[in-house]
Amino acid sequence: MKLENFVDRTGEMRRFDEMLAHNAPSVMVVWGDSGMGKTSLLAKMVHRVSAQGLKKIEIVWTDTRNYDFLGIMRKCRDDLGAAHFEAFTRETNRATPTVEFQVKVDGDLQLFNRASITHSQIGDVTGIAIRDNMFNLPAESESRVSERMMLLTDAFFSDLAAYLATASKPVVLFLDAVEKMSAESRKWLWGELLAAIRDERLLGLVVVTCGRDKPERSRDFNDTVDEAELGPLGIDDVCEYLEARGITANTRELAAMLIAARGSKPVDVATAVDAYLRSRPQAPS
Amino acid sequence: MSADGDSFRAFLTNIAERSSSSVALLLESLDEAEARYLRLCAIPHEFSPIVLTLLHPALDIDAAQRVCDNLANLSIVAASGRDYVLHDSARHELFAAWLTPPSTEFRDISARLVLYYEQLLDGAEPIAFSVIERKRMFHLFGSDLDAGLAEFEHLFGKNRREYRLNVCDTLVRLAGEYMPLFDAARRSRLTYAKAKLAYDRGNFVETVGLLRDAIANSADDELRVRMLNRLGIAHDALKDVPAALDAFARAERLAHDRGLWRQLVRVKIHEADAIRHQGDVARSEELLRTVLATVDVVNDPLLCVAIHNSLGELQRQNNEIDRSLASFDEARRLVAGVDQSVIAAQVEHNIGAVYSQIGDWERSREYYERSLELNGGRNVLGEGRTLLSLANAWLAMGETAEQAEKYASAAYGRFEHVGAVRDMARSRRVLARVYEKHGRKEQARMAMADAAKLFRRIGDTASADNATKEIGEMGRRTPLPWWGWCALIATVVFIVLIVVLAIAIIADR
Repeated sequence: MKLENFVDRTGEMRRFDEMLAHNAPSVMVVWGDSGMGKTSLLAKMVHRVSAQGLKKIEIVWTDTRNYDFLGIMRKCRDDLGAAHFEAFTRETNRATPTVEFQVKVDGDLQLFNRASITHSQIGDVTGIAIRDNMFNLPAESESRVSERMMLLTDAFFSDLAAYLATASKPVVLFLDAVEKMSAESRKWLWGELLAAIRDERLLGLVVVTCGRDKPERSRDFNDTVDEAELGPLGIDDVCEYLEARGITANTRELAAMLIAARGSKPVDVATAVDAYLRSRPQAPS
Repeated sequence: MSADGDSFRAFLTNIAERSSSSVALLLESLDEAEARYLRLCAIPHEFSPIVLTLLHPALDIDAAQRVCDNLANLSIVAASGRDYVLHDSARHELFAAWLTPPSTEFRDISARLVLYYEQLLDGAEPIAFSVIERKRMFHLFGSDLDAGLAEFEHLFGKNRREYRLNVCDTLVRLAGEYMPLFDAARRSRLTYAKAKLAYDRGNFVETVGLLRDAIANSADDELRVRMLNRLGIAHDALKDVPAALDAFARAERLAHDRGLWRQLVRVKIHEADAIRHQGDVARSEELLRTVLATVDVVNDPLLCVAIHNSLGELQRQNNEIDRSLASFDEARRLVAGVDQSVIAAQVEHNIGAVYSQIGDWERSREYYERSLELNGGRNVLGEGRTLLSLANAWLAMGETAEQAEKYASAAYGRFEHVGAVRDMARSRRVLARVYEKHGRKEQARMAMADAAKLFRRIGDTASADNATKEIGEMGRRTPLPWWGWCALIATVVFIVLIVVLAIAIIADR
């Protein structure tokens, strides 16, 4: 559903506005089936935030791009300004090895782009992995990765808290398609980031997550999280949508027919109207 | 408007009688060219004018831009940065249609996209590189299923070794899109990857379920041996040793029958681990020895080093010092023949640990120092651990604080460098003990408080509580300085005098 045709979800938008104004609760969790209009709602929120001149960070998980905890933190740093995240950057660089080559050649030296290590990231410090064989060689293991994650997270939170303390308005972090997030990233999101918001260590940060499933969370988050499940559109919403798309006559009757024919998921309603409008020149009048 | 309402009513009446999906309905309503573009755009996960020229080479870049702009008006198409994306459900439906069955056109398009992403890899930024690599792999499946699967296994292995499980997750999902084209053998390769991912995440029950399925469907014997081996490891992790041993036995039979000696050795090593976990150290050792007797077949000195090292460690834990030293010596002899100084450093470290265990600190120091020399900073974590062992040795010798402090601090630096928080906490704890032993109480308390904080941060509350307890004990053990004793004696004398005076006054009355 395009932004200009956005209908319904007034309740969710009102709650979001209240969140921005009062800063509590600071986390909104939106979920609903595919095609329920989660991304459209998020786009509307992003638009609202931009209109108010607030700082925002948008992270969208896709089929090919899966942000891990470090990816989320890096995106926040890059969007808010790297200058505010010196401790985090220092910590990240420490976890990222610098490899130096000394090349002695006789004659011309040709360097190829792909000959250099250009994609070194955290996790590149590896050893020989012989699991559970009493060989005390270093291996990338869950415990080591999570320990490194904690150091990076602490540095990031310290920088972010300092940034938020000087900001006069809230900063909004939007996370879309979180159902594509890995189990590890989800654990970090709830166990570290949202927990820090709950414990009031990141005052001024508002987070909106959008995904297909209702997240499993502990009761500790009751006062921090506002949940919104998106359901199908009501007939009034479909009427409003038809009018927004230029179908203004007998909208109630047509909306009822449309719901009967295709259901009332926003994506199905919108696609049916698209199909009609595209085929209109050939349709019988 | 009324005419519009009528035509919409007619349209709705028409579609109400059909069960076609929303996307199918939309495709029917588009003109032929536009419908074709929409179908083509479902092959990649995102599209752009450049990608569209690869999907449809007859389009030049300007025409492709116009097509993109036009498609962007559809509700199922959204702009995403400089790219466009189809709504998930629409893309999946359209992509699935390309696979039933895949046409030559689909293969050609996929091959063009592989080439395109291959070129983009050159000079790509670190994060972009990884994303492009995945896109290339995805389309490689489309152009050549087996090449795609091989690339998937390569990327999966690479990311798994670096513990990037989120990337592994994405790779599995991308490969899974081609599942309708997979035969049983290919499906079991993908399932094996999923099982390894589940294992790494500690979901051992899921691992077992996935592997049972995959083993039943695989015709590749080598893969079956590996899967049975993994099944044994997963059962072992679930503490179901009989099931683990059964899986290992099946793996060994198959490996033996097919002459897969290297696999056989690996299975036996894991079997020895399972037996050790069961508590039967002697049988575990015996099995490792049998492996050693046959390991020459695979001609892998490093594997022999690993086995001797394992034996030495096993014997050390069993307090069989002489035998442990003999095993490590053998590992040492073998490792000298291969240029592996990091592993050699590890063996030296382990010998040092044996001498530490029997309190021969001088000798343990010699081995630790040799280990540091061999390591030469190549394995930072290993170096940190050796430094910490050296600090412990100096602490035990107790002559001077200087060396122990130097090594514990250096170890902390190494651990901090690689982000090993538990080891950071351990080195702080050793430093605290060094300070305490040499009377620097305040520094000791601060270092131990640091250790407690670090232990707590990683959820190791038992170690954190112990560290806190040690701080309390340090307080109790703190001797009074000379002026403290003077003040205490003066106070006692003063109180006694007051009491005597009071008694005298009362007696006078």
